[in-house]
Amino acid sequence: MKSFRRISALMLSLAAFAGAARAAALHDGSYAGPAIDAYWGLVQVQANVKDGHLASVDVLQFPGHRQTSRQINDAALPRLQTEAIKAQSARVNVVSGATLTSEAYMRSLKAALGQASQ
Amino acid sequence: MAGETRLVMGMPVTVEIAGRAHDALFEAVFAHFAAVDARFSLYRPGSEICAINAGRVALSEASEAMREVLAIAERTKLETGGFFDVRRADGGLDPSGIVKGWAIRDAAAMLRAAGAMDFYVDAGGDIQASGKAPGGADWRAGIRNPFNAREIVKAVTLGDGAIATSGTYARGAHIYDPHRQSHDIGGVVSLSVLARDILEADRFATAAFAMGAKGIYFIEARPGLEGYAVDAHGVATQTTGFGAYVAT
Repeated sequence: MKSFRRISALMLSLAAFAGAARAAALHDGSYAGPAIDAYWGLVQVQANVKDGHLASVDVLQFPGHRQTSRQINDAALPRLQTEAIKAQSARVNVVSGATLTSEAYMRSLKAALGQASQ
Repeated sequence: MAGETRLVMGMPVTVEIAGRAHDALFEAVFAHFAAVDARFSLYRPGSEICAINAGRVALSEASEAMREVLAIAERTKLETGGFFDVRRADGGLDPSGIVKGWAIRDAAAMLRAAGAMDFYVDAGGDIQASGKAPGGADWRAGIRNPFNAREIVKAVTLGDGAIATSGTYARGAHIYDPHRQSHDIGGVVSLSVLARDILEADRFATAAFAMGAKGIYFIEARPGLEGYAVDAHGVATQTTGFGAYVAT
């Protein structure tokens, strides 16, 4: 049994797009992709290319605003257990995380990499 | 054990089957995801959802799949006091918040119908598990650290259950300060929901995340759901029954 076959879905998607962009050499520099409408707002990333490879991605815009116009009932909230998070070493089959790999994210990144290959 | 990962719907989708599995089954499941994408993608001008949003197809003429998804969306809106809404500001429809969980649920049903009992389906970090992992133990899922994608902050036993996570984890890295932990829940950066069924986990994770700090209390109050929320200070809040699923 293996754990962490995919270190992160994000890494995999980056690799996929880096692969897609490999046909054209990438020029070093930072390239901002367009802001793309996602479910909760706009997503915009910047691709940082070093030595001809995608070195990192900065998220310039990400939906952070939450609906504040509607309130849910405050009355008698139960007391829930809290803890400081810490890294776990337990073996797992699969990892759950937020889908930053949305279509909006991928499209912004793809456009940024398109600029890097021009 | 056989597994395969492909990029579909703009995200990695993994199908893992314990024991023997025929290639044809993987092909069928990925074809299902591709068909869902072709119908529901807002980025494919030829998709049915784009045709509806452009006014080329009336809702009364929509496919059975589209009507089912929109009906689930409407029900979710009612169940969440309006926190879940597929109606965009421009009047168009964006059912993305339902489609993923719905597609995973149907993929799991396809696998069961084909005789697979021990498997999981993971689409972009939302997971439905069934039966046992190789070796006979329950399937286990990690909850990704919203501040470090290479770490998990919790391991949970899924059994025949599902987990979905909503969040903005890319933002947290800049504001996380382990020396400034507080009992004030602050902004929620990641909210994971456990349920028997991935569609339930996914739609309520999406809605509860939109509720901010109140979201975990919504999950607490809803039967059949457990949740784990992480705030911007790296403090987690868990529902009363969540601890029973924690694996060490």
